[in-house]
Parts: sequence; C-alpha cells; structure tokens
Amino acid sequence: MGSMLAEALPFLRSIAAAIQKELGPGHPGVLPTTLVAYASASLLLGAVFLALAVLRCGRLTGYFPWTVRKGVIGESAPACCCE
Amino acid sequence: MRALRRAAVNRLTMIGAVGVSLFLLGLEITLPSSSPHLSFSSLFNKAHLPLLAASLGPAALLYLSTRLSCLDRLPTKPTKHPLYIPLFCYAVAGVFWLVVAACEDTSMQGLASAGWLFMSEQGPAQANAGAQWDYWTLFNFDKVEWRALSAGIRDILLLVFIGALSLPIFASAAAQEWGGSDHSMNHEFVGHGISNTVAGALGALPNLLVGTSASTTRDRSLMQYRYTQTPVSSTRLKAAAPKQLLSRFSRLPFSLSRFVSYRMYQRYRPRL
Repeated sequence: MGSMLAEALPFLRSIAAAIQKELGPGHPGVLPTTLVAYASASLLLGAVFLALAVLRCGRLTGYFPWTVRKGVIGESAPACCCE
Repeated sequence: MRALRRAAVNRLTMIGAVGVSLFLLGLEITLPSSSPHLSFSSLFNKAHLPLLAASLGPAALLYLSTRLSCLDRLPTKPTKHPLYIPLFCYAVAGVFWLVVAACEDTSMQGLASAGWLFMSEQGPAQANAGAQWDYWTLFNFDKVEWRALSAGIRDILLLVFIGALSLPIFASAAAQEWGGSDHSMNHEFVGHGISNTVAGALGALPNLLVGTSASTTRDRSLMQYRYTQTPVSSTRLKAAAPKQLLSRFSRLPFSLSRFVSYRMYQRYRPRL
C-alpha cells in the first residue's frame, strides 16, 4: 500500500474497522468485503473525476482562495495525527 | 512586512505539521504490525525505541554523510562515489548480522517476534508463481457481505469527497508553485478519472498525484509526477518524468516535499 496518499490512510483504516466491527473479527467475509469497499471507493472517485471533467469544472478551482488551499493541505496533518 | 513574515511562519508551521505526521507514519511502518499506533506519547516507548533507532539511525547517517561539506574536501570524495549508497545499504545488513552474531541466545524466531525480522507468511496459494493473481483471489464475491459494506459507506463517501476536493487544491497549488497555470485542470480530472477507474476495476486503492522533488540531483526541471503504487502495480503511471530512479533513501529526508516547491526546498535546505 503506497503511503504517499497519507490522508487516505485513516479513511481506509476506518472503513476496514467499520466492516470488521459489523461482521465480527473472525468472519471469513471481512477481507473480501474490505477489498470490495476499497475498489468501489476507487471506482467512485474515478467516476467523480470524470464527471467533473465532463462538466468542465476545472475553471471553478480558480475560485478556491489561496488561504483555503493552504488550510486544507494543513488540515491533513491533524487528520493523520488525531485519527 | 509583519504580515509577510507571519504568512511565512504559518506556511512553515503547516508544512512542519504535515511533515511531523508523515514522519510518525513512516516510523510506524518500520515497526511490526503488532505494535500499537504510534503517536507523540508512545514515541519514546522503551519497547520499540531500539527498533526505531535502528531504522532511523542509518537513514540519518546516510543523509549526513552525503551532505556534510567537510567530507567533500577529502581528495577521493568517497561519499560521492556511485557505489556509495548501495554499499551503505549492504553495510547496514552486514552490521546487523554482526551484532546478531555477537549477541547471545538469538534465534530467527526470537528476532522475528521482537520485530527485528519480518515474517513472510507463506500461504498454500503463494507457493505458486502467480503472486499477482493471488491478490485477485482475495476478491471472493461469494463471501462478500453486502450489508457490512453499508457500514463503511460513510467513510467511502468521505474518502471520495476528500479525494475529489484535494485534487484541484493540490494540483492548482502545485501548478502555481511550479510556474504552470490552472488551465490544464480538466485534463487533470480526465487523467485522474481514468487512473482511478482502472485502479478500481483492478481492485486497487484510490490514487492521487504526488509530486516529489528528486533530491539526488540538482536539476531544477526534475519534478516528478508519481502515482501511488498500489498492490496491483499496473496502475502506476508516470507522466513527463525523466527516467530517474528515486531510491527509497533519496526520498526519505524530504517526504514532505510533496507540498514544497523545489525553489522553497532550496531556500530552506539546511546548510551543513
């Protein structure tokens, strides 16, 4: 697992934890369900990006102020620490 | 002037916070999976302090030895030799086994249970050659519990939302820092849409662009786009990057460089 996308790791972890909590630790369906959840997250993200591209939303990103961008980038640090 | 300075301090604090969290994450990866989640309070736990020192020490030594200017003054420049880093890595393993040989009552099992060695789990399916196919056999759709999938749907949607939001933010910030324009954002969306769809179809994790500044060379134009390497490595794409291998160690001291432009990195680079 590439740890380069560090801010996704807490989410991946909590997805796996939620599924494991739902099924119980020793259930044989935990691993397949978690993998399907990860793959569906990838598919969903790809679909969202393609939809944004079709709708030509690239221009809208200019409306993010610089402070907001910095804040979001900085926010990923506490998200990683306080997960 | 004061506002400018405060902005610089804010930016440095923010980058520092990201760097610290990534640093802790990187340290945690070197520990065995049985050890608890690493945080500031558990950083100096006696149980894993030797492990952390053993993983961080060689990296710090390599970093210092390649950058200390007093070593450059030696006539032969041993640290600039192409074989220096490979030999250093071999020497780490050599020193480790020498210490193991010097210590008493060390068995492979004992070393592995203490976290010094990784156990490789060999299942019956992994004995065959098809390790890549083995990954896909984990997708056993008969055993998938769809009702349990709904338990994680909140986090999946949150992950998608964060990913969709962070791409334009990161990409436009990177474009601004590297002197490009935001004009190609629609192309960025298409590329990331394709890569994530392919990753999902192959059962891999979501990916986003990651830029690293190659600290092995001084070439300013050498910014690399690198996609996260997922378990199925076929989704790894490289765009407009020279064939420059980023070794593990070259990336280690600057793991926060994703958020730092090369120009900033040069400015804040420690002068040793």
